[in-house]
Amino acid sequence: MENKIILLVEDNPDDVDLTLRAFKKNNIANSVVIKRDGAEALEYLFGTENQSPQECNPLPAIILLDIKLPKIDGIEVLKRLRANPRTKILPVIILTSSTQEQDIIDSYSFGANSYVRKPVDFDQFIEAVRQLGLYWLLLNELPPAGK
Amino acid sequence: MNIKSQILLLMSFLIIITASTFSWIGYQSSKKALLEGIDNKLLTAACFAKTILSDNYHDTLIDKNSISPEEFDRMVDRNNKLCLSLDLQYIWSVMIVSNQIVFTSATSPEKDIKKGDHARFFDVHRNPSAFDNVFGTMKTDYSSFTNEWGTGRMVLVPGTDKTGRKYCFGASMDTGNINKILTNTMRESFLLFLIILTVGICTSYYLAGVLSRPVIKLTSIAKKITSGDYNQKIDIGGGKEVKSLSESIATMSLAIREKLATICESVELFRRVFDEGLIGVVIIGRDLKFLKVNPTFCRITGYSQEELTSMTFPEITHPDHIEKDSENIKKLANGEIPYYRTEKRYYRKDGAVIWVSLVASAIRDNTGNLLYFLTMTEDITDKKQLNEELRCNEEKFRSLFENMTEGMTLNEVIYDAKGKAVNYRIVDVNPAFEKHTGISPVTAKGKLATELYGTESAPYLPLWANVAETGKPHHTEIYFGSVKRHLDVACFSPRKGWFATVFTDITERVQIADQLRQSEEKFRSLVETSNEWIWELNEKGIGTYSSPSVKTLLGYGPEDVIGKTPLDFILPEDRKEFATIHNKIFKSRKPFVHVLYRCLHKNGSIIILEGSGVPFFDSNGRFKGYRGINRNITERKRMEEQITKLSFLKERLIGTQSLNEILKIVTDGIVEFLGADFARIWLIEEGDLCEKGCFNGEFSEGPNVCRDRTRCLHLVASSGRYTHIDGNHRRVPVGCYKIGRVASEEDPWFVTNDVTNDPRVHDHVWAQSLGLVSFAGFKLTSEEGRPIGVLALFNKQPISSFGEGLLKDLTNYLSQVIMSKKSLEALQKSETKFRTIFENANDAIFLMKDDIFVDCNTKTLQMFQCARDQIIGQSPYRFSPPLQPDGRDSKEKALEKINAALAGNHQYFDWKHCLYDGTLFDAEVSLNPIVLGGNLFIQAIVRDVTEHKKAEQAILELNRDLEQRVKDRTLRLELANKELNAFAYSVSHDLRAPLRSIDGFSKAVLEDFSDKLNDEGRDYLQRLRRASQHMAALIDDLLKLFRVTSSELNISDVNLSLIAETAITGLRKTDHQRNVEIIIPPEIKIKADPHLMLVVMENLLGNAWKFTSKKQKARIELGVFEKNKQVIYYVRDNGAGFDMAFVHKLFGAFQRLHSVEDYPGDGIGLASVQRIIHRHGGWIWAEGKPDEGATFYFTLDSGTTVTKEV
Repeated sequence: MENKIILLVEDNPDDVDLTLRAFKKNNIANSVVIKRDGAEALEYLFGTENQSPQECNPLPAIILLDIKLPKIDGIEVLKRLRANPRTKILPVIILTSSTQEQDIIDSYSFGANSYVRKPVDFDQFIEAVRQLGLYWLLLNELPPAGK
Repeated sequence: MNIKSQILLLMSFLIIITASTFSWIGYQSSKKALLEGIDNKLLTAACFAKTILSDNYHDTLIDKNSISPEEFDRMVDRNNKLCLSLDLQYIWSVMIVSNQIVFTSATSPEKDIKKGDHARFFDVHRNPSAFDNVFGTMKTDYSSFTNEWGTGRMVLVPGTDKTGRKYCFGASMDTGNINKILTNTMRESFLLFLIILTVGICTSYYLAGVLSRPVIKLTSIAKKITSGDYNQKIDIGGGKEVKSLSESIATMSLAIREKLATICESVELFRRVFDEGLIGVVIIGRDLKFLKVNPTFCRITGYSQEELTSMTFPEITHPDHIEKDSENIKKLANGEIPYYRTEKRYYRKDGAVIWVSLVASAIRDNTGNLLYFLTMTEDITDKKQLNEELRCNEEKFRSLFENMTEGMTLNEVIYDAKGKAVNYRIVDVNPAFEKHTGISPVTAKGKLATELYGTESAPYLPLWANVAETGKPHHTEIYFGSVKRHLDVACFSPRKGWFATVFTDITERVQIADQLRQSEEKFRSLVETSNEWIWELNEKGIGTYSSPSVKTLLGYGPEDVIGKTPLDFILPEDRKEFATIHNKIFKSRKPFVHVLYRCLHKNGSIIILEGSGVPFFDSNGRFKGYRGINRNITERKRMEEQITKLSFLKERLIGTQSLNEILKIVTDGIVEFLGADFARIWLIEEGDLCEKGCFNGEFSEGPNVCRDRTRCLHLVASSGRYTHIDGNHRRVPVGCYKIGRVASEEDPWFVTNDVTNDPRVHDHVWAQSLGLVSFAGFKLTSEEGRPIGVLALFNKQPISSFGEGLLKDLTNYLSQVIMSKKSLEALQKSETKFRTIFENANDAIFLMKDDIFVDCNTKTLQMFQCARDQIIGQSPYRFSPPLQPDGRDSKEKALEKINAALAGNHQYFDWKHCLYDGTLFDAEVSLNPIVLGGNLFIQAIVRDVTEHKKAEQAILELNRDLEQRVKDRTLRLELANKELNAFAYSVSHDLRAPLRSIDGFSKAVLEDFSDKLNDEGRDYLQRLRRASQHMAALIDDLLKLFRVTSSELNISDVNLSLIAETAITGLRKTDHQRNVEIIIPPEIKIKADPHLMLVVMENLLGNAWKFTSKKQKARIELGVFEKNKQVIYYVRDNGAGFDMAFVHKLFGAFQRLHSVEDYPGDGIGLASVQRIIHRHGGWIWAEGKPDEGATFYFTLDSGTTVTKEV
C-alpha cells in the first residue's frame, strides 16, 4: 500500500492541507503528489512533449481530481486520461464541492470511478476519505501497472 | 418336637426377656437417682464454699503471701468441717495465676496431713488438665474421676475476679461408697429376675399340658378313622374351638360312612349299566386294544366280546375319524384334556356304517400313570338320519327363501292381554326384501312393524292378523306408504299367530298404467279442446264421432252431427260435386289431405273447410271407415283476398309521381280494402322547428309534452270519414299523443282493439259515439331506422293479427316508397342549392373536360371580364401569360397540374392569370377531379389574390420585425440565464470552499492545539464550525430553490395520489413509531411536472407530518374540490397551525413561523412549493389557526376565480 502514489489535483491550498490531514487521520500513509491545476497534472502524468513515456513519472494508484481547476478543468483532465491508453483504466475519483447535477453526470459519463462531494463538515470529510482509502487503496485490485 | 415342648420353649424365652428387661431398668433408674443426689450435694457444697469466702477474696490474691498461713489454716479447717458434715472428700478453690493453676483454698483431711500430702496456699495443682473444661467453657462442670485421691465425682463452679483472672470452686466426693450401693441394687435385680423366671416356667409347663391334651386326643381319633374304624365316640372337653373341631370330626366320620354305602350302590349300578345298559362301555388299553367291552357295545357293533378283545379301536372306526381320534387319544393320554366327546362312524361287523356318540376319558392310578381309556358309546344312527333329513329340508327352504326374487317376510302377530292383535314383529326377511322395499334385512329383522315403518299402527295389521288367525291365504295389491311402493302381496300363515308375506314391487307397473291413463286423458282433452273438428265416419260415411269444436265451426253440436253424413252440411250448390269426390275417396280407401269444401253454418253463413282423413280398419283388415280433421279456412281465404287487393294497391303506387298522391292512394286503399273507418298519414319534416301554433306545443309536462322540438309530424293524407289534412291534427309533435309516440322510438307500432278504454286513446267518448273499436298506428322508417312518419287508422272491426301483419307489410313498402320519393326531392333541392352556391360564389369556378372549359359560374365572367361564350371551349392557358413567374411555360405547367389532378391528386397552387384583355393578376388555383354522369371532369376554383398578396406582404414584414425582437430578447434572456447558472455554480462550488477551510482548520486547531486553548477558546472554535456548517446548509437550500425555479418543466399526466403516497412512504420510513391517519383519495389525475409535484407533495405533506408530531391523534388529508369551475387541491393537517396574522410570511424564503427548537426546518420548503405552483400557472394559499392545524390550497392551471391569494 505504501508504494502506491496518490495524485491529488487541487488548486485550493486549504483543501490540499485538509485532504492531507484527512489522509493522515485515516492512517493513509501513501506518498501524495499534489498538482495545483489541470495542466500540471497532465504534465505529471504524460510528461512534456520531449519526454518519452518511459521517462514519465510512475503512474499513481489513484487520482483525486477537483473539477474546478485553473487552466484545464477537472472534466477535461478526466477526458484526456480516458483518451490515453496508458491512463485509461486508472481509478479517478472526482473530489469537489460542487453539487451541480451536471457535474456529477459529466464526471460519470467521462469515466470517473467515483464522485465524492467535499462536505463542509470536516468530520464527514474524514469519513468520506476513510471510505475512499478503504475501497480504492485496499479493496480494489488495481490493473497491472504499465500495461 | 411336640406341641407341648414348643409352647414351653416359647414361654420360657418370653419370660427370660421380660425378667431381664425389668431388672435392667430397675438397676439403671436407681443408679441415676443416686448420681443426681450426689451432683446436687456437690454443687451446694461448692457454692457454699464460695459464699463463705468474701466476694472479693480472689481480687486480693497476688502471691503466696497474700494471706497469712493462719488465715489459710482457718479456711482449711472450715472446709474440713464442711466436708465431714456433708460426707465429702474435698472442697477447694483454684485460680489461674501466671498460667499456673494454684490453690486458693483447700481441704486437708487428716490422712493427707499424715502423708504430708495436703495442699497449701498457692500450691500449684498437679493435674491442671482437670480444669481444661471448666475454664474453657466457664460453665459449671460435673465429672467423675479416678486418680491418686481415689475414685470420685466432682463439681467445678467457675468465676472471674475484677482483673479478669479465672478461678473456680470445686467439691468432690469419694464414690467408693456409691459403688457398694449399686452392687446391692444389682443383686436385688438379679434375684427378682430369678423369681419371675421360675414362676413363669412353671406356669408355662402347666398351660402347655392343658392346651395340647385335646389335640393329641383328636389326633389319635382321626388316626383311627383313617384306618377305617368309624365307630369312635368323641368326647373331649376344652375350649369352644376344640369342641367345634371334635364335632366336625364326628360329622365327617358319619359322612364317610354314608358315602361308603353310596359307593357300594354306584358300583352295583355301574355293573348293571355295564352289563345291561343301553350305553356301550368299553375299556381300551394304551395300545388301543379293546380290553373289556360290555354286551351293549357288542350289540351296537355286531361283534362278540371275544372278537372285539382281539381287535383295536381304530379297526372298526370309519377312516374319516381316525385322524381326529388319534389326536384326541393323544391329548387324553397326555392329560391335556380330561375327556372328549365326539360323534363318529363305526363299521358294523355286517359292514353297515353306524353313527355313535362317544365319550372317552382316561383312567389313571394314584400316581397319575395312565391305566386305560374308558369310552361310553351310544348308537345315534337313527337320530342322525332324522337330523340329516331335517337339515336338507331346512337348507332347501332356506335357499329358496334367500334366493327367491320375491320379497318375503315372516312375521309374528303380537296380541294384547285381551287377545287382540296390536302389532306384528318381523321375524325374518329374505335378501330380496331389500330390493323391493329399500330396507336392509339387518334393519328389518326383529323389529316391530310400527318401529320399522315408523307408523302409529302396524300397516295392514287387520288384514294379515286375519290370515294369521284363520290360516286363509290372501292375495292383494297394496300401496305400502311406509316405503312408498306399490306391492303385490301374497300372505299365508305358516302356523297360527304367524304370517308370511311374499311380495313384489309393482311400483313401476302401477306408474306406467297411471301414465297411460294420464296420456289418454291428455289426448282426449286435446281432441276435445282442439279448434279443429275431429271426426270419424263409419264405412257407410255416417258420422260416429265428432269433437265438440264442430259447434264453433258449424254451429251444430256433436250430437247433431253423429248419425248424419257430411253431405247434410255441404252448401246445396256444391253437394253434387262433393258427393262425387266423397264416393271416390271412400272407394279408394286411401288417405286424403287438404280437400276443400264449403259448408253451411247453422246461422246461414258459408264456411270453407279444409279436410284431411285416413281410413281405418279392424284387426281383420276390414275397412271400418275414415277418421279425419277439418279446419275452418274461411278467414284464410278472406285474407288471401285482401293480400291480392293490397298487391294491386302496391302496383298502383308504382305508376304514381307525386308523394302526396301516393299517400292518398294508400289511405284510400286502407279504407277500401281493409274496411277502415278512416286512415291517415303524417310525415316528419326535418328541421321544422316547433313554434307557436304547434298542436299541444304548450304542454310543459306529462306524457303529451313535446319531446323533440326539432321534429314535427305533418298530416299529409287522410281518407275515409275524414279527408281534410288541416285542423287540430295538422301537426303532432314527435313523442306526443298516440301518433307522436308511435313516431318516437318508444313504440314502433301500437294496435288496440279496445279504443274506448285504452288510456292512450285520449277521446273515448268520441270513439264510442262513432262506434270505433280498433286503432292501429305504424311508424314509417328510413332504411337506417330513422322515423319518417306515421300511418294510422281507426276501424269499426277488431284488427286481426293477420290484418296487423298486412298493415306492417304495407308500412314497410310505404316507407321505401316515401324514402325514394323524398331522396329524389332532396336531390332536386340540393341541386338547386348547389347551383345557387355555384352561381353566387366569390371565386371563379370552372368545370373542365381535360383542359377545355365546359362550364363556369357568373363570378368567372366578372373575374376575367368577358362573356360566357368567350370562355367555354377555351383552355386555361388562354387566360395566362406565356411564362409563369418561376419562368416555366404556362401551357406546359398547366397541363402538368391538370394531369396530376386527373390522376386523383388535389392540386393547389399560385398562378399568374390574365384577363381576357391580357391584364395580369395573381391567383390561387385549386384543382379537383370530379365524376359527373360517369365522366371525369376537373373542377377548378380560381381566386384573385392580388389584394390578399399585398396584405400578406405587410404581415410578413411585420413578423420579420417581431421575430427579430423576440430573438434579441431570447438572447438576452439566455445570457441572463447563463449568468444565473454560472452564479449558482459559483455559489455551490466557490462559496463552500472557504467554509470548508473554516470548519476544517477549526477542527484541526481543536485537535492539535487543544491543550493550548481554554474552554472558551474551544467553544469559539466549535461555534465557528457550527456557523460554517449552517451556512453550507443555507447554500444548499438556496441552490435547491434555484433549481426548482430554473429547471425545465416536463408536463405530463400525473397521478397526484400516487405521488402523495410515495411522499408519505418516505415520511413513514423516517419515523416508524408515529401513528398518523392519512387520507389520500385514489386517482387524483393532474397535468404537471411529476418531479416537481413530488417536491410539492414532499414539502406540504412533510410540513403536515412535522407540525402534527406533537399531536396524539395526528391526521393528514389530501383532497380536491371544485369551486367556481376551478379545481382546488389541498393538504390539511390538525397540527400546530399558525396565526393568520403572519400568513404573508409563510411562503417567503428562509421565513419561519416556528422556532427551530420546536420544529426543525430551513424555511425554504414552502418558498419552493410556491415557485413550483406558480410555474405550473397555479396559485397557492393557506389557512390556519394556532394549535388547530393548517390547510394549504393550490390550483394548477392559471386560476380565474381564486378567492384568496397570498
